[in-house]
Amino acid sequence: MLKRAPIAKLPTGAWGVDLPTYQMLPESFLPVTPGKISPNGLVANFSDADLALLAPTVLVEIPDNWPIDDTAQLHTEKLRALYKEHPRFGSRNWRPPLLT
Amino acid sequence: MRLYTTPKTTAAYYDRNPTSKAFNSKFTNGGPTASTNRSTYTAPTGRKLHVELIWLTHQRLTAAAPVGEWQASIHFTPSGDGLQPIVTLIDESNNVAEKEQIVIGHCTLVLPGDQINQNEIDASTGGTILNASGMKGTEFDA
Repeated sequence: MLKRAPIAKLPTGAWGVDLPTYQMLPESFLPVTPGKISPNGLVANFSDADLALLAPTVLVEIPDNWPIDDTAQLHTEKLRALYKEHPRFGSRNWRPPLLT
Repeated sequence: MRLYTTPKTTAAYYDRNPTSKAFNSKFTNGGPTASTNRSTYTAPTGRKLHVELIWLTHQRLTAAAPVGEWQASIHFTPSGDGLQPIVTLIDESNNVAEKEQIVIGHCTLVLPGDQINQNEIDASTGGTILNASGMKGTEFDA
């Protein structure tokens, strides 16, 4: 399914989406901000402060069979169970981002 | 001469409730781009992924001033371990139409909790590059 997800700084230091499986769609970054965010990504010196200020999002394709809760968001507990072998996505400290 | 065959106790991977997984991305980056994971796959519990094909292509479209390192990579992260780049194209050329491409077949198995992702970065100032990458695999019951 196609959803809009917030960009996050991942544990590796790369920018991405804090989900176990996703694929970004080209030309879908928002808000397009000259010198900071192009339709296809973030500039090299994009900072944590920029992230807090601009809250960029991107369209992502995620698995159609992922569990959804009553609020039409990803079901946190079921998703953790689905990825229980992963040290972060399977832990109680991780929550999936809110999608729109 | 006697011929022996090993008794099979499990079906082949492609006969164990298989589903195809494919990721493909094509991004034209204008100027410097931060390290970005364009796609990520994590094998869910009870399933594995046999990666049957990986491809990476990157090409300079317009010159930078100055050029920096630009690269496209496939990263593999074993569950509970550190990230390992397994396929990487690295370029510092500023020649327009400079292109690198690699295609690899049947290269790895992703176990439950393991992760594989596509990453790209362009440390240049100005200029544009094209990055296209993807993979195809078969997910099956572990």
